[in-house]
Amino acid sequence: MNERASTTLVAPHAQTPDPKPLITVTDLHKHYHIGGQELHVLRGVDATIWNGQWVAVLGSSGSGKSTLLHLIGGLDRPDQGSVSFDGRDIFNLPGAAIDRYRNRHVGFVFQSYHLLPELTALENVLIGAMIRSSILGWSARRGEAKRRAVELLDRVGLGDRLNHRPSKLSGGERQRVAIARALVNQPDVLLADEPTGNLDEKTGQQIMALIAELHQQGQTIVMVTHDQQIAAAADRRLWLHDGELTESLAS
Amino acid sequence: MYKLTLILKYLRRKLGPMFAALAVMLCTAMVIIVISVMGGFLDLLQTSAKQLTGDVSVIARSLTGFAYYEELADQIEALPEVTAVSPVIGTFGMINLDGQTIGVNIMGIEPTDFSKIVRYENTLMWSAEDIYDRYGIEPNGSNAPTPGVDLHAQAMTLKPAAIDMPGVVIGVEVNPYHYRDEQGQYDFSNSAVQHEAALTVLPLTERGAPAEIGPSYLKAAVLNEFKSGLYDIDKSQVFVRFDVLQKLLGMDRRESKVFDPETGKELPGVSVRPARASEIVVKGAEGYTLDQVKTAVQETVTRFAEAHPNVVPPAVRTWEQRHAQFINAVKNEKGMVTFLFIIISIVAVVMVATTFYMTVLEKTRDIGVLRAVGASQAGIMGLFLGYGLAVGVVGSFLGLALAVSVVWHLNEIQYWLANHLGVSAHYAWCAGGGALIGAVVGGAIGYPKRKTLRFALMAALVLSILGLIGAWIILDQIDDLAYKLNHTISFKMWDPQTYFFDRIPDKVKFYDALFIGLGAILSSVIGALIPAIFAARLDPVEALRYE
Repeated sequence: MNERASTTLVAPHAQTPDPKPLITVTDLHKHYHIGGQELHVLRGVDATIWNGQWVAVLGSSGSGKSTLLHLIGGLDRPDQGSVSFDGRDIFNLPGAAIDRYRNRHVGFVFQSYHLLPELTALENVLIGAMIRSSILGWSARRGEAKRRAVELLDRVGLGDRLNHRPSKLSGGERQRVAIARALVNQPDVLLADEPTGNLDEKTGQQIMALIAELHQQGQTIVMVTHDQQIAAAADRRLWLHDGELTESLAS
Repeated sequence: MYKLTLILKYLRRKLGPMFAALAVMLCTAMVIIVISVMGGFLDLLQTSAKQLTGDVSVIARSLTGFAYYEELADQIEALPEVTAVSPVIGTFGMINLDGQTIGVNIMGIEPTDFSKIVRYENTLMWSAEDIYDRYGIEPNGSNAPTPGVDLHAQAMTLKPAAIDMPGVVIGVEVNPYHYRDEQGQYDFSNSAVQHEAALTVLPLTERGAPAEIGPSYLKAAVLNEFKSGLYDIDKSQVFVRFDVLQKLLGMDRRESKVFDPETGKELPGVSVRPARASEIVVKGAEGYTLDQVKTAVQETVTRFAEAHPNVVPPAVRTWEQRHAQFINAVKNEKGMVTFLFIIISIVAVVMVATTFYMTVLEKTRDIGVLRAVGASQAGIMGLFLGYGLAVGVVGSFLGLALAVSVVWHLNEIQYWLANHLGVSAHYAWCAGGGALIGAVVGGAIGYPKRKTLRFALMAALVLSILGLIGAWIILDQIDDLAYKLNHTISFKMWDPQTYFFDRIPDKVKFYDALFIGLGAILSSVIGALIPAIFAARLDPVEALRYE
């Protein structure tokens, strides 16, 4: 894949170094009721993610890493605290603006890929662009969106698998489709939740190489993992322990 | 845009919603078929009722009729709301036909005028050409009508061409020798055409008492038979010429000498008793509603009554009012079918809701993914509502197609069920029985070799084919057996010997079908509503973790 690195995968704006903080997490609290017990997974988490950074969030299983990622992506709501994107608290956005935030500024990559089984690889990548458009708007944007989706799939090495359904793809191929899907709307930040967790070592390394390539092209990445070796490639490593976040310097 | 894409994908690749569409299809088809047959039945009744009644009737309140009917008829005919009128006399009487006497309603009509108002002409059953063509009767055979006589023309004048006596046209069921065959048809060889009939009526005085002269008799030739489609009319009505019946009942214009009651001497001048009629039938002009025609006629009758204070004003009734009793009965039945439609719609709603709820559960993780990629709650709700709409549209169109195919071929289907079910069922039994025996025997043979399924399938197929061939050979050789089978195992949903209409109504009304189709689509959307709300309210994080 490295020999194709001349073509960029990420948004043009993401490649420009920007000293502004992209996402600011302030005093984030979250608890769950499980089995009649209250479980505080986040206890006043503060963090700042700068544009172009690759941040790895480490922690043991059940430490709240995924919860933090979901909150940053606006998929869940905190009990207390805020997540600011570009200076605005995403939980105070009006109406469906938080859905637009997820659609245009965030790209999720999940451990279990979460592709839609009825759609082909190309359609799975296009789904985010489709959500962005109305039926009428889609007719105008379709060509451009399809061109970008094909380009993305080509870049992740699946140019010959465009019309394959997820059931016909291997785990690594599915995760590459998921990464292409996350990038289709040129998001400001890629939120990856254990992206190599379901893959064998070799395939995991290929996926990490792809993520590193994205980072080199300027993509802001927040990646959750419990594997320190994988986290070592990131600019920053944040440790989540007992609901609190601590930072260790990048290697 | 993603909603449309996913709906189309789900429609093609998901079995559950296809079952929901199948349920909608069957519900839609069932209601359209029932409504079409019921509606068609109602239409047949109404057409038949109107056929011999006219739009509006002006009816005497007494059997003695009402006087100055010509004047009233002229006034009504002059109305812009009216195109034609014809006076009629109706009375109870008896007819003796080939030695059998039955009670009938005798109507005196002017056939040509009467035919302009009602479809009398269309109800006539026999013409010489018809008889030769349809029944293969030789023109000079023993059952042939008089050579050279146009039965239709005779009936339209109510005057026999060759015999010097009045003519009469009788309801087809008045003839005691008629019966309908298995196809609901009458045979001309049993008809009373050219037979002599004797009518008996009882003339009444103007006050309604039996006249001193007693019953009047009339010998008449049966010129034709009519079939209106209403059994009650066809079994009890006969037509004679208006002037003949008027005279027979003593309702014609009479002049009599005037005598001094004290001296008994004849006085100069004559006493005139005006002619009477029982009824004036009226045909409304185009562009006017039945109510408008009735109102205009009613106003004319009111003015007529004011001008003739000694005449009891006749009543004005529309054809719907005259036949309200049985028309309302069928309308009520159609109302019950509408109620059935509501119940079936609820069933469709529940079936769609159940299927969609299962679909939402199955697609929970996909819903989480879509939310993560930016779909809003409203979008997810729209996706499942749109899916319900698509299922409704597909089910509704398929149901409509099925219903139209069935209704248009209902008579053929009924004919097949009534005439070929026995042999077909026998074929099915032979094939099915052979397959079952083959499966058991083949399975038993294959069991020790651990090839049970393959042996069973092969043996089932072979014995099934052998069963079919055997049945075909036997049935093909023994026609009598095939006939008996078909006769014994048959399903007659519409026996023409029982029902007076010889065909099942087979028209689908556009607006009925449209209304039912839209109702089915709406039911499907309503059925999808609760699962759609449930899907929209799913917590995306929980949805992503759903196993």
